[in-house]
Amino acid sequence: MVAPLPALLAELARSARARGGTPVVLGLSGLVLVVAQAFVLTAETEVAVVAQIATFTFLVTAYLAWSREPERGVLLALAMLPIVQLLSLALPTRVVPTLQWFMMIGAPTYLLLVLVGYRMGLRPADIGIRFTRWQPQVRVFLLGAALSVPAYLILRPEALVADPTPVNVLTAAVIVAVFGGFLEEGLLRGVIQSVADRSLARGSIVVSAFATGLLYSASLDLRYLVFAVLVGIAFGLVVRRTGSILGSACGHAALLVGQLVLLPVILG
Amino acid sequence: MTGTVTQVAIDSLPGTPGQALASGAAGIVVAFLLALIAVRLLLVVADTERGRSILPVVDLAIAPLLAAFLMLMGGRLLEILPIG
Repeated sequence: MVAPLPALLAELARSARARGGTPVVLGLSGLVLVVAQAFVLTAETEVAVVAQIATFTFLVTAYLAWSREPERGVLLALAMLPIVQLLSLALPTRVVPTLQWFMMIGAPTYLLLVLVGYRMGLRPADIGIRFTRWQPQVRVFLLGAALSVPAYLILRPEALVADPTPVNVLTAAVIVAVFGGFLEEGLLRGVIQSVADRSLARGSIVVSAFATGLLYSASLDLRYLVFAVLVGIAFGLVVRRTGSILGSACGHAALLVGQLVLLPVILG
Repeated sequence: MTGTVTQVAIDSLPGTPGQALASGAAGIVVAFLLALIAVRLLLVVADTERGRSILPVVDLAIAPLLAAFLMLMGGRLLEILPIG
């Protein structure tokens, strides 16, 4: 029973060497991201900010030091996560309505997405911004809309709209869709998964699901975390199969709009 | 993402943009931004091939953080200016 374990480890090490240390570098990067997120979840905000800065520095340094293409691109894509966390930790204030946080954090994140895409030579089609067969996209959109019900029941978020007039609800829906659903799909499935897809094939879905879990762990609800990761895997599979993020982006937007805007007004 | 990430910091959120600028978290982020800008300037002055390849990567962090800082400053200006 003992003998196969060293053999397995030796095989893993041989495999890692053959792939230029890719599993080691990516595994270590994942570990650093998890540790930094643990600081976000458990430590004071200032400590969490320092941890995120250290993580960004680690990922960018590793990206610059590692010459292996296209694998090293995953590190630069993952380096967006600590920047998003920094924005989320430093920008929101109590006096500003929660709805505005989406724009405050979303606008710089869109800028980050564009810069990373430009830096990595990603065209819109490369990150899945293209029309493919419409039937699967509509199905994903409907799936996202349906999933907003369990998402709401798990998290029971407070209503984003204090005065639910049609105009206010519509405004909130547009903001959540643009700065929530579309942005997250662009980040997680658009850039991170498509960059990982160049070097890791199916493993790219694991990377995007990992990033999803990392961001959603801050909800401090294990059931919601598991839900978000499963939805991330489902959307990742759809994007990989169809080559387009349009359906998953609309589905993600429908999920968030239902969960954060419509259902709290209707059921809350 | 944006709605859930902040859940962990919700109890210690600053009240106004002015308090946000004075808080430790924003202070550290601004210090990081200044350090990145300093690194960028040094790389430009050094004018080496390696330095030029690093510049776009440094810009990746500078651009969104600078945009965020300007938004905070905008919020602070609205807070202190007697508009309306």
